Amino acid sequence: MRRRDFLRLGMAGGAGLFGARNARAVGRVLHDPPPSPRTTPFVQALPVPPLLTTVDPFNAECTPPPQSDPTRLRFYRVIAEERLVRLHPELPLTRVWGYRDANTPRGQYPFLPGPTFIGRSQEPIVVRHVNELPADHVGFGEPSSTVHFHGGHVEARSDGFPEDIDGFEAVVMRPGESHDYCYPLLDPGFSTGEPDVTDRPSTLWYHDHLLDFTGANVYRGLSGFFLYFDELDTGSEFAGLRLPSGEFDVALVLQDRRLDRNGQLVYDGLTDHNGFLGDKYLVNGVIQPFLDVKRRKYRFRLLNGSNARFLGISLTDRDDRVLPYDLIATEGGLLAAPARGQKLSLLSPAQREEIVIDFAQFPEGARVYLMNRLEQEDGRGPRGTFEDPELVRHGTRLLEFRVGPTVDDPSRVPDVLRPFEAIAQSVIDGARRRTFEFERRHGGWVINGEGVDLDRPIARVPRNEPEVWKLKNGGGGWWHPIHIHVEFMHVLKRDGKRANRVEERDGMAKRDVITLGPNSEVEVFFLFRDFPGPFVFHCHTLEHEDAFMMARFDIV
Amino acid sequence: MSRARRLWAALLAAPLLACHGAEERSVSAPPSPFEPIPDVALVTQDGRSLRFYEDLVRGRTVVVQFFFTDCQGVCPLSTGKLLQMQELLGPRLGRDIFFLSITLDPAHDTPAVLAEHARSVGAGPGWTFLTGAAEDIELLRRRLGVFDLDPAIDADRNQHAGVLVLGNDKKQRWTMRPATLPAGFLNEAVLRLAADPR
Repeated sequence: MRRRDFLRLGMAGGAGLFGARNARAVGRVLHDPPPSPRTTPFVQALPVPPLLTTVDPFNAECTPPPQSDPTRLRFYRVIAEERLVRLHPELPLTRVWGYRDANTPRGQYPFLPGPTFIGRSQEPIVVRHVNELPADHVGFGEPSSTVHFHGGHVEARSDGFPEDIDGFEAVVMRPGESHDYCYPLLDPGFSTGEPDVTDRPSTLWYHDHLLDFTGANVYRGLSGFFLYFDELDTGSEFAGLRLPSGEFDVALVLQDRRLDRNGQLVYDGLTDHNGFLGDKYLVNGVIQPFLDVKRRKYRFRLLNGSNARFLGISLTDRDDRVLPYDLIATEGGLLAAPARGQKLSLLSPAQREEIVIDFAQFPEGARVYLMNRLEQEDGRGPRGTFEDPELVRHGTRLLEFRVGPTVDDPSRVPDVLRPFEAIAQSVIDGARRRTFEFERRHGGWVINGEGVDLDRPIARVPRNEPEVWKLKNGGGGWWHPIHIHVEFMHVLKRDGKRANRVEERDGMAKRDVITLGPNSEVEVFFLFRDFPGPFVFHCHTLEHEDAFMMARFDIV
Repeated sequence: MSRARRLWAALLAAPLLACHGAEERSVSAPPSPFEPIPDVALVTQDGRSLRFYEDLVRGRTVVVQFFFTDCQGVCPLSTGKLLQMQELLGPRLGRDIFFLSITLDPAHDTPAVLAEHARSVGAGPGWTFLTGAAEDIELLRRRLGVFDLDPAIDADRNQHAGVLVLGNDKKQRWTMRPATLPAGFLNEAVLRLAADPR
């Protein structure tokens, strides 16, 4: 083994070992959980969870809006269950929770991530989620559930509200119960005759959202992808934008986990107030896999599915040299134009970025990697600041690409993707302004001084009226990725100035999770449309969310 | 956790410290959340000596409040919530659900003081007030996650965390809720945690 390998193993081997070096360790609780068992990287192929299949129509509890085309309605049934999966060939089977297509018999779905939804704009979906989690479950995780369609523009009862509250339809599924979710996949503004066709998502995901237990439940495995196509982003290399498609369009969920010596999940949500970090890196539910690729372009949809770990992803070669790629989308959908020559995707928990890598630039037989170049020792955040994160040269390799033979490549990455207008200054000037400060108080996390109270909205937001929200990090050195449901945000300013990074530039990109680094303050623009009712916004460091950093807001 | 077990845990941790340079730990042998709940000795308002895990937690659903009788800050609020929950739970309190109020000021809150406090707030059966050795209570508090990440704030009893810790030992599931939540909400959380899967 070379020194670099020792370093890498050491970094992967246990956040606690590096505690003493961290001058910010004031007040940290020293857990020193034992490191996960060692595993050999890049010995198993990347799994690709299957696409969800339809079921016969059923009488749904929810009703798509009148603007939906009922002839195109598709029905799905998804089961939340406990199952055993193989995270790595050198480990015993791991007990996890995950979603499964109801059309697949129990015991025949070996993946950690749930099946992938394919959605098409204007084609409505109804999904019956069924909770078959074990009622007699012992250990972390609460077997009740709600399902949040993250990035979706849907009604309140279908959005995954975290708890049952007075005056609102029951949403929580106890074991044995189900809940129907309607996803009309209509453009925001549809209900007032002003659908915004430029405001479409691309890579969404679905995951548990139960109050107080989201961190534990998502950590156990309850998440999956939802990919959104339309006449521009067609899913075909011969129509629309002709982006890499089919087998060359690969969704990658990146997650950190910690395992005990028996290969079982280890988690602490009760005392790890900063946020829980794992020391094993999973891609699509297995530890450090490889993917055979052809010498052509691929589209990769990166999702940081970790509870608290921030990722700084670069494409690197055998010598850890950083290589460029094209950035084509954030979680807010396709960019107005590709950002070419990107070298870093800075992803907070729950953020997505889509990149196109052209493997034709490498010879057959080459090996290149997705590498995490951030160092993070606790849930506070990675080293450095958001504006200037500390990047390491020899980070942890998550995924190995093995370059194979040349093939034809009909795909394109055109110079124009999905253009949209930046918010006009006159609209910003006339917008209602609100400020939300995220900080720690009374042993928990608060927004504007209050911990979560789903009985009381922190704001009542009128539909179709411009809003500018100032989101402030109240200090203390923590990073907070803030997620607001229902609509994408336009980022107007970061720390008083127009946002620097291309993935935050209004007119270029939108987001649904915005990172507040230490002392960060951002201003974001919203127009809340179509769906009245209670929704939530919250920090997406799940241990912060579960320790009360969430607020209800009502669209009225 | 007994002294012997704590010493053993500290010895196990010592090689890790030696590898990367010893750091002064402000809390001696901080409890690991991956080990069982500490079984420290406590004394009730009636003067009975009990062990925290074996006698008060094992097999039960508990709501744990850290407070002290002179507290002017968040304690009256959380005590008020417990009173409302006592009403809502009725006979279940003391059957499978128990309230444990543990003092952060054992020097002042003797069993007699706790007994008077319990009587004056109207605490009924199933709600136990506890004191003990300061370092044992400290261990318990940290093990249950009731602490501030800023050691300066954490050292100030008057700014202690306004949370209630909920735990179901049979299910090995623990969580916490802010005491600022409506009592009904808190009660629902306790009932769900206590729910018998049958």
